Amino acid sequence: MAYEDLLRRHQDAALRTAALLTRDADEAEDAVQEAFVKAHAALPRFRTGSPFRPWILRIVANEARNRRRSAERRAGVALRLAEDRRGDDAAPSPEAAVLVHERRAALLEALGRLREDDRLVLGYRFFLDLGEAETAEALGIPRGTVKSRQSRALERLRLALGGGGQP
Amino acid sequence: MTGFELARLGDADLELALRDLGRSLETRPPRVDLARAARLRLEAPAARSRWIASLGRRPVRRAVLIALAALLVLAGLAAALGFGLPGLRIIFVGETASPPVGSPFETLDLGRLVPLESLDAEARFDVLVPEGVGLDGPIAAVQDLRPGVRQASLVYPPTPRHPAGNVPSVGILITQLPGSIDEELVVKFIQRVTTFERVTVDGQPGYWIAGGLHAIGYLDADGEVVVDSIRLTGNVLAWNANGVTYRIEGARDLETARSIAAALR
Repeated sequence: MAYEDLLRRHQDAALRTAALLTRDADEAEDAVQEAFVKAHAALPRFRTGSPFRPWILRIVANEARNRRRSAERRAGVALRLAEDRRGDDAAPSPEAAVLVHERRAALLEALGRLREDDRLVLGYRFFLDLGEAETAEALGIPRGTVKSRQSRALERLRLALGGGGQP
Repeated sequence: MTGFELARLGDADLELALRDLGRSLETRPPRVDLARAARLRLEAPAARSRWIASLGRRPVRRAVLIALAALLVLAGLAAALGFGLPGLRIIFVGETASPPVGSPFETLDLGRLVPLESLDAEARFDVLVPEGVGLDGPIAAVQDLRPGVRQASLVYPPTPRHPAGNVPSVGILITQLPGSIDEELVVKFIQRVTTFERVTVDGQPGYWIAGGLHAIGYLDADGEVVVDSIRLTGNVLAWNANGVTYRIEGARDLETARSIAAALR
């Protein structure tokens, strides 16, 4: 598979990862593009047979971290709630839709108050559906550490949801 | 469900709520195809060497080299990732250099100064001058960008309506470069913009860019690149009309830039 095709396959996950860290759409895009270029230079260090997604996400996350300071000054919004466009019977009633939206908005707001390591582990696990092994690879930590880090992140998310100040 | 209620959920339910949130999130569609942009940038070194070779055929200015060093996207990228208007394409790149605040006039590097009366003859095309908008007493300059390609510049001193930017002695800078909209491609290299807007100027397509614009490159029909710095950090109105690429730098807002553009005679 050509490198460009390989990148395109992971572009959305890369953008989400960068958005989680930079919280700015422009910075997220720049980080992803830069990471894709840097990843090419790093390909000789990629272990054949290993999953590509966590490897590229790790490079994206590093690049996004390097850019987050300037992005935070702009306080932009990189991840937003999409409209529920279901028009069939599965669509919730207007009242239920409001409640669902409120719940998601509260979660998103609380998530934004977490430190980046917490945002990243929760984002990998539940937004990108990475398994524990892939999450460990993407975070550059031992697999056995993922569970404990995820558990602590969930606990701090609860604190953030409960309005308990800086989690 | 409020935040307090969410906070009381067990791990499994909170994880379900996070998965639901993840499915409902969207990112803004990227401005360019990022995978393709990366691939084209990786292919850039061959084209960059052509640039460097072409630079050897003309005087090399420091500003040009600074801009050139930062430019990783070249002709192929311009064709692939431009914003689609004929003759005027805009590309986003990484860090570039710009004149620091307080730069003396000389750093504008506009070429040789010429009397306004002889600007047309020196530039070898009809240079337009704004009339009736309070811009008076320009310094005129002509610069050889490439053999046979000359750029004309009009530099206006600062006024209350057009205050100085990073160069204290300059309020507005107007540059004009001949080139067919069908034969040349203009590439703007942008580090970071706060505003990027497609506009029309007298019916012609153009761009209004505010903030962080530092370098510009022109591609001619041969694929040769003329790299040039944006002199005044700030706002730029750029458009192409009647075979000439115009840009107005330093206007405080789009309306002001439009009024200057409309006054060009």
